[in-house]
Amino acid sequence: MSTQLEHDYIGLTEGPSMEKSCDKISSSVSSNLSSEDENTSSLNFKETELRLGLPGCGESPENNNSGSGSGSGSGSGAGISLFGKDLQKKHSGYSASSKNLKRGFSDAISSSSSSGRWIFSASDDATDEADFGNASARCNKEVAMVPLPHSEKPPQVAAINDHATAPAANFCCRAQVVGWPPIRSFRKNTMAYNVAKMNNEGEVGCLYVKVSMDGAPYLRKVDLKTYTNYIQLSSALEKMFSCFTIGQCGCGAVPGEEGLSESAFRDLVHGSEYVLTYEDKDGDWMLMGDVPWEMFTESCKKLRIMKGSEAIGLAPRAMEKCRSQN
Amino acid sequence: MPRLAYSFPEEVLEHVFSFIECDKDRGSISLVCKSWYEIEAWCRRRVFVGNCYAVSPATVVKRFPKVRSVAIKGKPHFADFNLVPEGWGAYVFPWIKAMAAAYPWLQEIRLKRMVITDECLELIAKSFKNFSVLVLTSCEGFTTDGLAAITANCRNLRELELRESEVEDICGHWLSHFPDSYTSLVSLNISCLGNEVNLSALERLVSRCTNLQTLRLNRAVPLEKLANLLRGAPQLVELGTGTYSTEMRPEVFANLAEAFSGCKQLKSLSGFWDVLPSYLPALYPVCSSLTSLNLSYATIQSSDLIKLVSQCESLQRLWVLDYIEDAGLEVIAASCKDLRELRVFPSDPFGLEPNVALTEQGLVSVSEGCTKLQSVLYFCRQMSNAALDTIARNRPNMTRFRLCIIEPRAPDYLTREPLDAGFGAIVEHCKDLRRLSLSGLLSDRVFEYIGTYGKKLEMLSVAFAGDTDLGLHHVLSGCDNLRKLEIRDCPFGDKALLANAAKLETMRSLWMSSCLVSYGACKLLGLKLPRLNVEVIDERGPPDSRPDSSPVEKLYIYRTVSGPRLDMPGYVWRMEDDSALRVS
Repeated sequence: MSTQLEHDYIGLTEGPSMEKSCDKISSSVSSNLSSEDENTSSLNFKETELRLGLPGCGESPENNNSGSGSGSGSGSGAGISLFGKDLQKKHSGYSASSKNLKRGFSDAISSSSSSGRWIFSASDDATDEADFGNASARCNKEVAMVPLPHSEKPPQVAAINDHATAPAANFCCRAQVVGWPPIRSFRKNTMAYNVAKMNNEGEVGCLYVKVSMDGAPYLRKVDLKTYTNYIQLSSALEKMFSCFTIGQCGCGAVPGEEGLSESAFRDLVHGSEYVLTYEDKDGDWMLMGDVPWEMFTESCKKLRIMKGSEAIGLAPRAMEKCRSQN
Repeated sequence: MPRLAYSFPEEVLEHVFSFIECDKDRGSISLVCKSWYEIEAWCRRRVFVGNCYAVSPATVVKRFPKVRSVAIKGKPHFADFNLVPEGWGAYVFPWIKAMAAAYPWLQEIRLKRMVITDECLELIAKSFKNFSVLVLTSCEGFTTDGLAAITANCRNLRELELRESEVEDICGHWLSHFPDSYTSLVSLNISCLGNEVNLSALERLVSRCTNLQTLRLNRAVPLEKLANLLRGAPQLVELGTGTYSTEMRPEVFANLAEAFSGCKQLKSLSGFWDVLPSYLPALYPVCSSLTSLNLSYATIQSSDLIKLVSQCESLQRLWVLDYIEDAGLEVIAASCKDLRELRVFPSDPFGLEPNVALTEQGLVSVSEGCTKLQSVLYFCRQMSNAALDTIARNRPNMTRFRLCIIEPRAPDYLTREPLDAGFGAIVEHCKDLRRLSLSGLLSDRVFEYIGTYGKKLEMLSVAFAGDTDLGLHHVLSGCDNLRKLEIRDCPFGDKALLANAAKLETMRSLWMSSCLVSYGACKLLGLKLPRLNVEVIDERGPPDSRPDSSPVEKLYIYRTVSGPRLDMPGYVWRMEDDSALRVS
């Protein structure tokens, strides 16, 4: 029920409200822009048309990039009419007519006199609509021409960037945008998130480690990233080495738990002939299952399926090690 | 007409002013007349500097000669998410140096997002004889050696808190530098330290400091040691555990449970790194009196979380991972009727598929059941306008609402529309909303709503939203109380910024990165508004080497009374104002 009064824009063409010096400045800036204006005057008017609706204008065609575009920016046509309805329903004072849906930036800006002195413009032109569209399209073009910085960090996937260095949609994982989702470094480091890394072949961060089994003639490799807990990993290993009879690897643990539960752990150690161990970053051989899964994948370098008899005496050392680890 | 200002002796005015603590009110007092300005300045004891570059240390110490407590903030908020490159600034040294000379009786220093070196810590330790409070939040640049200087020299230290700071861990013995005679510790927070501290020194410290109320341990403190520490400090009000996991041993468990039962004043729990769920029942004795619970690092499943949280009927603040799931939040809605603040963090933010059953429904449940809920931070993977509308209508008392839908530009998952209407409902119904963070698919429309209804809004965070400059214009022209605006990856360019240039002087700061603001516009702003520092951050090289119409990478604009800062790194350019040009 609040009514939005439509103010005239302070009026770039109205002299008195602008300081003389600012006119000079703005005209010098605008002269740069207006010359380019002419070059881009061939732009389709429809492209530069302003709408309150969803993007359909030329300045942001890239709304669909950044990974698995989940329907973002779609249906602009439908969007506009829906918005029209919305406007009519909720804001009687708002422009409900279709004409006003397309009002230019200039019409929409309120011109409160107190800020009048301070309003600057990038251009003197009265034709704000076209200007506005041009300016944005121009910005895009400029951006497109500038090579993106080469840095060690993953490239900033700027949404508006025409450069489309955003990874192609066939990446099997979300492209990593810098600082998104907004999670503090302390939390990221503590949680040891499996941050997806992009490489040239479009592979997602993989964590292949060698798996050796005592008595087996050859080693295997597993990708730790394809598992989310110890249960999955140990059953995968069981399948992989079943031809070499690994013994009972089935645990009483409920799938989905972070670490092996106490009972499952015991079952594994006592009930089976073999024991799952791994070599960590420090070169120590550890019993699998003590630490949370994320910590394990971070520090695991190699897996070894050890004969039960050799694994005796390993557990206490593992505990102490765990305590002194961060 | 009686001159009331002179009718009270200074001492009386000073005494009256001493009851006014709010900075804003203090500011108003100082504007009444010259003598009130002077008296107020003379008796101001606490100073809060929201942006370390908004004013120079010299100006502060000159105006307020008798300050006892200082709080300073440095880097822009988006520095938390790696958007501000290394070496940007926010060095506290000039402040410490100025205060060392001017405030020999300084007692408290609280810093956020600043760079503090060991040299600074040593200077603090030797300059302020009565130094008692050091709180460093999200700071960096120092090592445990600097901490050793503090513990060794500050005889009256009461609070030492390192919150989420980056500390180079050289040696755990810094804690042992507290002399044996030292007993005044009230609050110790070492939760962000990577390595072990000397445990026996910690135990002795804890047991001899009988006023200890807050103890936040780091991950390296093993669970077996926790019971002893608790027994040494049964008066503890706030506890952060170390690692909360070890081999399950009944005697360890019993010991721990008994120790917890002895802590009758315990109101706040945190820590819980590496939780073994079977140790959680040791906490049950204290659950019913807990007002604050931080389980946001505890990777435990919904059922274990529910068992714990359902007993915390006095809970006011809960931080938890999304393992809590919708089911858990429903339980919270039913059990924690006093809840004021909820934060749900993502357990797997970079995964493609949801790994937990946490949706918008969880938040809706809490908004229904917890009538005092006013502060929300919620990470999820789907949201709908309908849900946001429900939340808004349920909780018009909301003051902080931060929603992060993990996929950028995700639409309403039911209707595929933008979430404009949903967020619009939030700003419309929550009339006291002070802080808002947006996410999901959003058009200019949402900003229209924000500009119309967000009259009390002080801080707004925007990412991957909007269509045109109209969006930014709505916010800058409509939000009367806006102080901090941070924007990333939005198609906002020059027009709105230039049209609302004056607004920027009424705000603390504006951050825009990966937007469409041109170098030319930045220059213009810098030129005409000398009371702003318009800083362009561009790691591609000097912006002069590109056309004026080329958009800048990042832009940080803040008001200041101190002119340009002198410590800008090579990738930051300040847009000069008229005065600078005239001088050269």
